[in-house]
Amino acid sequence: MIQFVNVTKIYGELKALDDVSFEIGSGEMVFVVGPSGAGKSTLMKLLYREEKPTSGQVFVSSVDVSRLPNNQTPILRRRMGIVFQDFKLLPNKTSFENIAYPLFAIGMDQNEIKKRVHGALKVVSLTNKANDFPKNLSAGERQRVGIARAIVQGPSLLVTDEPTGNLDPTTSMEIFQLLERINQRGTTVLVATHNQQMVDQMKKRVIALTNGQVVSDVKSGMYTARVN
Amino acid sequence: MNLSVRKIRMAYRMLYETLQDLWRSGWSNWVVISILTSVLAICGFVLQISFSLNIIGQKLTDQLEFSVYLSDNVELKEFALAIGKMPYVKRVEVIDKDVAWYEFKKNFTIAEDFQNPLPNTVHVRVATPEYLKSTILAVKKIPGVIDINYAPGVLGFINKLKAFFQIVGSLLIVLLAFVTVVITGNTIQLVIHSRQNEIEVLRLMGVEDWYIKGPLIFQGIFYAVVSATFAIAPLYVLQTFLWDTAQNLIGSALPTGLPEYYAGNIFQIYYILLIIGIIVTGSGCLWSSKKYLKV
Repeated sequence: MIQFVNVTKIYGELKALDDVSFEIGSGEMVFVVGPSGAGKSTLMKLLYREEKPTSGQVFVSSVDVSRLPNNQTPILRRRMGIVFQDFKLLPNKTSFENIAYPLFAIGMDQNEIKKRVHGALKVVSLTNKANDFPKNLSAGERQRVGIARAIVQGPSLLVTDEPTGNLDPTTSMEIFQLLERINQRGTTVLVATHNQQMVDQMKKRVIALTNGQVVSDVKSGMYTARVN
Repeated sequence: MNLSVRKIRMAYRMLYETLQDLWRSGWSNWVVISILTSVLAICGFVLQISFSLNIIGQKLTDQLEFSVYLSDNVELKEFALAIGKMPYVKRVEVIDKDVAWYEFKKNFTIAEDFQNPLPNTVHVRVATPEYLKSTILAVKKIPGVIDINYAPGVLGFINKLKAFFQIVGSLLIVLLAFVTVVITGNTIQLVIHSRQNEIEVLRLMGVEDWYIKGPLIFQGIFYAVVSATFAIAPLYVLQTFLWDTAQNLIGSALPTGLPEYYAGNIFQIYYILLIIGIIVTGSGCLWSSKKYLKV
């Protein structure tokens, strides 16, 4: 599903990623962990082609993302869902409208939009909050709306960058369990996080980054042992 | 999903987003529209004057025929042949003084013993107006020429007027167009800034960049349509002013049918203004979206 081949990313003087190589199979749930500045976010951005590698190749579903023409980028992004730390919900739109917004923009039929949005709200258990504005939702609920928006197009890959960065431990646990449920439905889930407690509890594959390099890649791994 | 139906839905959404952007832009819209209206009004004024002066010039050119009056000792046919051989002379018409006097007497009652006062006359037409003066000067030097009757002053004045309006008008248009491009660009920058979150969500969710940029371009087109419509209205007033001024200046030399011509070409000018407006606002939108919009 995902393959990084000797990927290096340099910003000016800073080497954010240094000769990173790994593979992630279809249907896996993987945590990318590491301290701040380890290169987690850069790795995520390379996946959805927000950034291009300085050298090396990034493959998503056998497509070399680093060499993808600009006009093909939207097609790549429609095949994956992206969840942000700061939710990126539009304050003047309801939960339903936030989730439906990208679907309107790709010209989807209204009935199909309704069906998909209600389906996504059901997955994140927020059917009763469809008409609520973000200001009336808790932080956890906002992130669940963000996740619903990410999965509404039925992506095969879900990329989440610090999804619980702004949440308390209990809500974080809910979000991680939700991500696991989505993974169990067949979606490959990649989570960049430094939430040690959650990673240790989930017992999933953990790729640890330090100073832009992969220092460990262990199935059913733990955060603490790998990074520190 | 049927591709064309999908595109129609997207176009509808883009129009919806455009209206939202216009609403968000508030008073900035009117700043752009008022400046663009000024640019287009000046543009329309210069165009209208140029068109009018061209028409007047053309009509006068048709009448650009000078008359040469000759003394009796000049051999008329030989003179006409010599004139006909001059460069840029298009046509020569000989009016014998006896024939002219006979025609004159048919219309007026004149005493039998009254001597023919008319001179032999040759009407000369040149190919293009710029050779009129040089041809007249050359003919004047031929012995036996008593006088030459022509109206070069009006044409010279028209040409000078046209050049003045074209130069001053073009400078003003370029200057104001630049200002409009900058102001349109800044307005679009504000829109991009206020939509930052939406744009980021859209592009990361795989929405094509033409959909994201589309509303900004539509906004520019909206400015152009409104401004061109506003600019065409004062042009009617300017036309009247132009017509009155021209009548005072050159009076009877004015060709007939100009007001009708104005009425006919107002739509032509509107389309030209609309295209200029779209180019100016389009440049502002493109400049701003290229600089501030990451898609």
